[in-house]
Amino acid sequence: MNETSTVEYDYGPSPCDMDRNRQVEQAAQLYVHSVICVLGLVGNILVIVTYTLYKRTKSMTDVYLLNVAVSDLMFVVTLPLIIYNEQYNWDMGNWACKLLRGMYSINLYSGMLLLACISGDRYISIVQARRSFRIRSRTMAYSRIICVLVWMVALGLSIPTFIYFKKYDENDNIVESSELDLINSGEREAVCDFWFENNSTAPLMKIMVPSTQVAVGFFLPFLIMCFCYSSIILTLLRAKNFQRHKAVRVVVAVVVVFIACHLPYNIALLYHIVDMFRPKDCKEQEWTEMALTITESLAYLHCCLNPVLYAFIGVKFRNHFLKILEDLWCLGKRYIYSRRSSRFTSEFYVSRKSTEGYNNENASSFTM
Amino acid sequence: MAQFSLTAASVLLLLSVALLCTNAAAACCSRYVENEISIARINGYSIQTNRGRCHINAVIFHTIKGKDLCADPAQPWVMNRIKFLREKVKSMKGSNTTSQAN
Repeated sequence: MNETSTVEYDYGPSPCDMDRNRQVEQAAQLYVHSVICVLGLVGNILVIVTYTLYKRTKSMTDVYLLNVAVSDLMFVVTLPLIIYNEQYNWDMGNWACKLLRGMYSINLYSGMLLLACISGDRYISIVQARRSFRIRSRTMAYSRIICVLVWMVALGLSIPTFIYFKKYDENDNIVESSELDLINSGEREAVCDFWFENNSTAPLMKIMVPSTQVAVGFFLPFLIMCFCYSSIILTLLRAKNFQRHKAVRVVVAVVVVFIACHLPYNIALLYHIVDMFRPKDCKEQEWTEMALTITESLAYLHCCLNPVLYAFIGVKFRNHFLKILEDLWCLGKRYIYSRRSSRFTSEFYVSRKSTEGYNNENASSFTM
Repeated sequence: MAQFSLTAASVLLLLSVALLCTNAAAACCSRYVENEISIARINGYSIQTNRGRCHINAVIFHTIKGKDLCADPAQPWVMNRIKFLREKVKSMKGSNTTSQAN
């Protein structure tokens, strides 16, 4: 009965527990994501406040930048909520799971596509400068329409996430068992992840959703940015001008940071997609998951670098920002003496409006 | 602005408190045994579905030695073992021994 070979069977492949990856994930969440969260909150709120309160005249790029900041801010806000729920069994419920994951997806797509729009806008104003004069008059309307379109596309692409993400019990992965205690074990760990009612849609959607993310959420904006920014650099280099060289550096910084943040994650994701159904050891499985976790944190970092790369690097924006600090300082001083702050804010609104010029040029957002 | 950084700080605090307690994650099969497992070594079984976190369908056999082994449900011998175990369970007791997770 006990053949020699059967002893070996007990050393066969067992279910892989992902404890090590779990630890890395938790470390990333604690140390990296919290820093990203705080920096992202501060940076993007500053951008939004500056644009909504101070910059009365908005160029096409300003509209995009404001939308990027809103998208990044929403992303940064959902991040701690997701982390909180992961820790506490998703006690906010199934709808929180769907909503938070869906928001996450919408902001991922909208953020990336808007960055592509910014590159396209800069391309039109710099490379196609002559033609752009004719378009300029209609640009504001265009940029609003494009932003609405981007958000619609982002929403559309996130629909599968809304539909298929579900809060469920971790033990639900086991459909049937002869061990009663396995199913009815006291500790029920809730997760928020893909859950499919159908056995055949599962593999399809598990491939489709991340593939779309890599294609539309990375490669499409990446290609658009590569085309636009390389043409911009060529145009700028042809015009020999000191200021222009600074602009080239800004462009290079924007592209390099984009690639550094998103390329590793998308390569890891692509590998994960291709590798998903291949039989593999627990070690391999662990490495793939860990690579995803680490590169994902790096990708998150991008949303707190955007305010610096796109907004604060611009001369105009920095001036507006300095004005805010100045006004805040004055406001604070005033507030201490007289508490009628509401009248005061409306007062300085008017004065701000009158002092602001209408000579905003698109390229200003990118001269240093 | 000060208000915002205050909320940020409280979020941070909440985060760090939340992260101090750790949970165990569910395990998934990622490959199958190559040889058959003799029925005498099997205590019980569980069936893993690909509908959730796990990417492949699998049968997890619980051995006498207390190990879990992943088997391919497409293999005829695997289904034979399950049939045998189901019968065994049925004969041992009434209806309350088999259960559906969802």
